[in-house]
Amino acid sequence: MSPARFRVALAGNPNVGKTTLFNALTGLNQRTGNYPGVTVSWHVGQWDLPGGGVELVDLPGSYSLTALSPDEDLVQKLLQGLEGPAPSALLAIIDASNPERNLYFLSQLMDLGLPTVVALNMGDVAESKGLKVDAQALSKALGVRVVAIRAHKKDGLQALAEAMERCVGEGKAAKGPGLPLNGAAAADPAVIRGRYEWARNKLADVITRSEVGVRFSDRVDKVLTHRVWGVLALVLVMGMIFQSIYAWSQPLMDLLEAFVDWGGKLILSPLPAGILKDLLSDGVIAGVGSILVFVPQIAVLFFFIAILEDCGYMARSAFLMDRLFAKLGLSGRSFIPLLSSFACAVPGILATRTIADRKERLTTMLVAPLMSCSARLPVYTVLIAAFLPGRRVFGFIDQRALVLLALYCLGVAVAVPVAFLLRKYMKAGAAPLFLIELPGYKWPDVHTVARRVTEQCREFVANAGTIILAVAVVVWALGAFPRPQALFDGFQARRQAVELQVASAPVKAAEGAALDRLEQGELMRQSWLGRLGRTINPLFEPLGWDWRVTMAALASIPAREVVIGSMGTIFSATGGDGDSGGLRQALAQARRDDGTPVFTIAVALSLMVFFALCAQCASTLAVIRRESGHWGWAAFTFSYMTVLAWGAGALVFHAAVACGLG
Amino acid sequence: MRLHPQDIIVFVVVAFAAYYLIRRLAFSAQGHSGGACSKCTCEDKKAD
Repeated sequence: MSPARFRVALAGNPNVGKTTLFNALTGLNQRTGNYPGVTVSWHVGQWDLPGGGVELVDLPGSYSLTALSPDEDLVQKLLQGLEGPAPSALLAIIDASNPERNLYFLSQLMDLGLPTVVALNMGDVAESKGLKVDAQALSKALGVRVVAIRAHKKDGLQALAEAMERCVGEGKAAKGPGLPLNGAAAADPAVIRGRYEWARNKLADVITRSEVGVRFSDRVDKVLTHRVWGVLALVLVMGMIFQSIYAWSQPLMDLLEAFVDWGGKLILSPLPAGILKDLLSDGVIAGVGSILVFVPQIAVLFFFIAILEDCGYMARSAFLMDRLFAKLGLSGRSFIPLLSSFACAVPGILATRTIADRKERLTTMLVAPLMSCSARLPVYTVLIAAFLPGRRVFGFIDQRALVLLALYCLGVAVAVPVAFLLRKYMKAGAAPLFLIELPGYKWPDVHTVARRVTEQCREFVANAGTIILAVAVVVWALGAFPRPQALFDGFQARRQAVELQVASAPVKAAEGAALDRLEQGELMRQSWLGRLGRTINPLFEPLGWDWRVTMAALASIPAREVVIGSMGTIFSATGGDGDSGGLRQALAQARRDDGTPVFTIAVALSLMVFFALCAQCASTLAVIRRESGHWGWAAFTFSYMTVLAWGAGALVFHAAVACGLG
Repeated sequence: MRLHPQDIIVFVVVAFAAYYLIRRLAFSAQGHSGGACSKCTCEDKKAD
């Protein structure tokens, strides 16, 4: 790749297709979505112009250069060269379906005095609204090159590249209305009016309008943004997603289970019995294999998330939630970060950069980890599958899907009072006014959906091969050492006694297998893991947990899904064959020292509720620290969520026992 | 006690896993998401 000749900044309003254009021009795969606020940071790629490559910088969407929120502040700094080198030219993208508001921002960009090319996007959407923007006339009015494009279809990109090449060759500075750009003067109502006046003047001979009937989007929105029907539709959509997670992924999961089982046998069968075989079977295969079988569920979940994001429904759900959120002092602006947190809290917390109000941003950041992220899904599904019957409610709704939906709702239900209390504590005022532009509905793009699903599955598998594998190996080592010779000698003596005293071969084999399990159990009890677990366990006894469950939960502090790998390692070492079907069986068969089952429905519920509310994710805490600028807030999040998870887990356990589920 | 080659392999694997975990947690302590999420910011990816 030849070195970039200069830097071009790609700027525009939110949700006008900047990142779609950026990906099309650079061949990169930055995330896109049909709602405002997807890009909150900047990305750099190489754009090949006829005369050679240039550096293209994709900026977050912004309505103005008068910064209110952290992402807008970033745009201002990048454009003025206060963060990194200043751009040599500008590629401004405007939405043809909303030209006046887009030209307001363009007026500020042109006042920067850089050579500028305008990309006129979404002409098709504009036409569906009865608007036609003449690119040539607009170019003449603005005095800069304007190229009509369709970013998602990659139409007009060659013409855009040629226009930019000529523009930088000429080096002619764009000329805006010449109004103040910085300080209080820029926010003066007279200046704002002046910019809108300029935009209207420029558009006067550029736009032709025609009458159109009620649009499809408007008709659908009457239902989907209705205060009753809209909420009902939201619950229905979520319910359908959870139902599909079970119904669609099960056949693939069974296949993967069989594959892991087959692969495990293939690897282990040539190996002689010994410590290395134990490490591979109980540590690596049981730990990593038990989590890998959940890839189909992750794929189904993100398939739906990608569809909802791309079709335009996310913005509607934010609008719906604004009413509820306003009562808590938050606005619908907090909803999009919280909604993103259902996939992963890290991008959710980063998305709070779109929130201008510092207290609202901090509150949103601190409750975002309460949303059930995809890492919790395997924890829920393995416990639900092992301990809850798959009965049908009303003949068609899977009871397990309902429990899953309830666990997802739990995070939201708890976030509501927590946010309320945090706002009270911070002495924050009423919710700021929330304005959101509802994008038109569109068919989800197959490539966008496929990219999102593959990206998430790849990340899940990468996690299984790195952090989950590492924790599984360490947990295995803690559970396998020390290896006291006296213990092995004692069991060897008992085996010899069985050999001498029992005549029947099947009985001898059964007794031998029972002794093997006892030996593994005793080894685990006397191990470092066992000693540590039994020392700590009194703290978690109110939740009904055995020391092995406690250790698996504590080992998952780096990432929640690690608990599945750790349980796979711990429980397969004391019985079971390690794959997920085996893990479910091993969990159901696990016994305490007194012979009672380790897991009952009450214990499974308390564990699920604990994981729904706990803060077991080092990445999330790290991002809270970085975004809030203080370790104190990360420590506070970890503490309040742990206390909350512990309390709710204990409450659920005792309530379930009282209902006879213990 | 005589060391078996299997013991050495296991020791190396466990030591590497422990080193990896400590390194990962230390990275988080510096405020990076550690590449745990494909949607992390550009600056995070560079740091990874």
